[in-house]
Amino acid sequence: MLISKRKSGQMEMIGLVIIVILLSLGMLFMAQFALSEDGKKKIFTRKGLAYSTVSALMKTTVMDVDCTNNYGKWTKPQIGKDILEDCAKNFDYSPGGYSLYTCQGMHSCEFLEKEITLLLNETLGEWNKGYVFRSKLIKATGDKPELIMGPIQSGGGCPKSKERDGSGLFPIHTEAGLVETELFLCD
Amino acid sequence: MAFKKNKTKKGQIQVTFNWFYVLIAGGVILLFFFGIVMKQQKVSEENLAYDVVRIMESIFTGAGVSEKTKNFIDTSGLVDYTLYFNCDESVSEFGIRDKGSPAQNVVDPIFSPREIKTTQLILWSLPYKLPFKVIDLMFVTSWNTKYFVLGNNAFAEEFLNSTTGLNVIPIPDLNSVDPQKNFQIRIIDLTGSVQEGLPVPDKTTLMDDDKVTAISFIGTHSAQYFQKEGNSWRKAGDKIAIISLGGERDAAKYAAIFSQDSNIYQCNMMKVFKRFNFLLEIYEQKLKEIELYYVESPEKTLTKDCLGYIQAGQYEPNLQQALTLLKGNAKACSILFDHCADLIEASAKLKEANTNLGSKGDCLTLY
Amino acid sequence: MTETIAVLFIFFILILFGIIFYAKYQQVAFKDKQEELLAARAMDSTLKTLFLPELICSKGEAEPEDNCFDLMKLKYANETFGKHMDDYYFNIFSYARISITETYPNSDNKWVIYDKEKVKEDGNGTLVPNWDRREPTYFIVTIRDENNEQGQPEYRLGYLTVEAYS
Repeated sequence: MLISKRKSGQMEMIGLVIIVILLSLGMLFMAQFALSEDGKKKIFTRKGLAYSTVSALMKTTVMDVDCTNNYGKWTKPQIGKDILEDCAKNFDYSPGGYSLYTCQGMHSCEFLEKEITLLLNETLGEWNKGYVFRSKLIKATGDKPELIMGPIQSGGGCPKSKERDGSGLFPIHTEAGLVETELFLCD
Repeated sequence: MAFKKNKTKKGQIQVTFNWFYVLIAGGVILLFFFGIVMKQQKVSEENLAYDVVRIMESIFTGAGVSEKTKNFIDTSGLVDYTLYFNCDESVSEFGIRDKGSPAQNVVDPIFSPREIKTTQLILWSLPYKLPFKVIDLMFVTSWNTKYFVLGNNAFAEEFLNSTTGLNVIPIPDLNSVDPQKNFQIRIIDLTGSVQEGLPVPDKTTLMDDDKVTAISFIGTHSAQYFQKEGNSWRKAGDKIAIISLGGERDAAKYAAIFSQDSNIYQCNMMKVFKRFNFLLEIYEQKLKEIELYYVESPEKTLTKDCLGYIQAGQYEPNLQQALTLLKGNAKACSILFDHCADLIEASAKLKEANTNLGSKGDCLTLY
Repeated sequence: MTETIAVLFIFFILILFGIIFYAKYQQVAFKDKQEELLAARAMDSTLKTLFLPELICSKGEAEPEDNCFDLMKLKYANETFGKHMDDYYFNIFSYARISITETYPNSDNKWVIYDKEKVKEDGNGTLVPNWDRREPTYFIVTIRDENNEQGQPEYRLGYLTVEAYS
């Protein structure tokens, strides 16, 4: 009888050891999935896309036939260099008031907001990317930035709590101050 | 009593037999697991070599597009392995010596020593222009490959300034060469001091022959490689032609400095000229379109004579003639490297024609 | 004795379950790795396309413009790529489809500059597609048009699509 009891104890120990081994293996697998982080390539792609989007937008020439300048002459201004600068200078007269460029009968700020919303929707929106686009004007050093365009967003925007990457600030020096444009992308 | 004795003897035999059994069985099991471990180690090394080569390919892609930026890659995990680079018939090959299968590349020109054994790999690329951008030339070196610049001219100063972060130092003469504990050294001779038969620097006599090399620049468009043989210098291959338009950060000249020998240099440059031919096809079409643009709208050239610098017949050099000449020379060059020196003059003419066009203000330029 | 046999039996059953589980996991992990490699290939091809000398907007001796394609070169790029696809450009892009689509002002404009589909021969000798999926990567670019009435370069908005075949 005594001998049998001793043998049973050994069997139970082996059983416990096997269970511990199985549990450890299971936890190892779980840890592998939990600890895997976002690929560096994914972050690079998002940053690159954000940068290229703003860069391309700023350079885009407005080829709308109904775009005139102050002299009533048909013109092809660029979004960043011409229209955004005009918007910054004449933001106080928006909407409906004076602006150097008038496209589709609208104030430059109004037209720009409409056009950028459309362009971003046709590209980033079509690819189901969440984004938020803003342009701010800093009139003088130390002044609080004033939002002159946006936020233009989709997919719920990109709050700081979400994983997001920015294009970086695209500064434009204008007579009205420094205009900083930024686009954030989040999946 | 007799019965008891038999029982005791039986127990002794059984115990001894058990020990034998345990020893043999245990030994077999140990051998089995030992064999698995050895096999696994070999497989892991092969996998490592494969992974390293694939990752390096990806890194080369990134380094290639981030031109002018130096990339420092930590390879401390590979310190016991030797990376090797080779090029044969315009096909580059790189991998870990004696391990796994190497990667081959027929597109990207990679200029490097033949072997690198280091904890930090350095990748750098510069755009090669002739006169428009053809491709990025990739330079591969390491922190333990030392470069000694012998000479004190504008190029020496420029090279020293642009290679910050690399193991490059200027020296007043060949006797100042001290390899210290570097894996290999390269002397960049701008004074013609390195010549065949002359003795190598004293402190390099104990190094392996293939780890002590020099490149001597002759004039503006040629160079000669030297390698240590015993205690003296020996010419390594024929003189090479540096096909470039000169200027700052001359990619072709830098490529010659980072290449092990004339074979690596010429083999990779042939890849460049292959790409050059394809680019010329596109620029030829672009030129036709620019010409058509001005032919169809002559009012655009009323105040500026753009067409004169584009079409043959009026001004020299002009884009059409220069491009045709360049195309012919490029075709010859793609067959034999010896014909590539003719590209220099032709591309200089194209550059001049393009610059003249650009200086007009509103004329469309080719590049 | 029977207890020992029973325990060993259960033990080997557990080992078997472990092996089956590991095999399934390896299958899933392998598929994930393939997808990861495909995405990496698409990204590499996108990077290479953005910096292709055959397409980039050059500015004389100055640095070329970022994320910009020259329309005059773009129109003829697919001809050159097609002519030298098998002996050269395939080594850069492998099995992929690269296209540039204009969004503004004219969304009808699209240029497919490279298309090398993975194919195989079926029983009748006809070539049929031999890929499971295409992994697209998008990048917004600007398309520079110098050949216009104004004589000044105009910048159009578009995007680059690189689809790698698996």
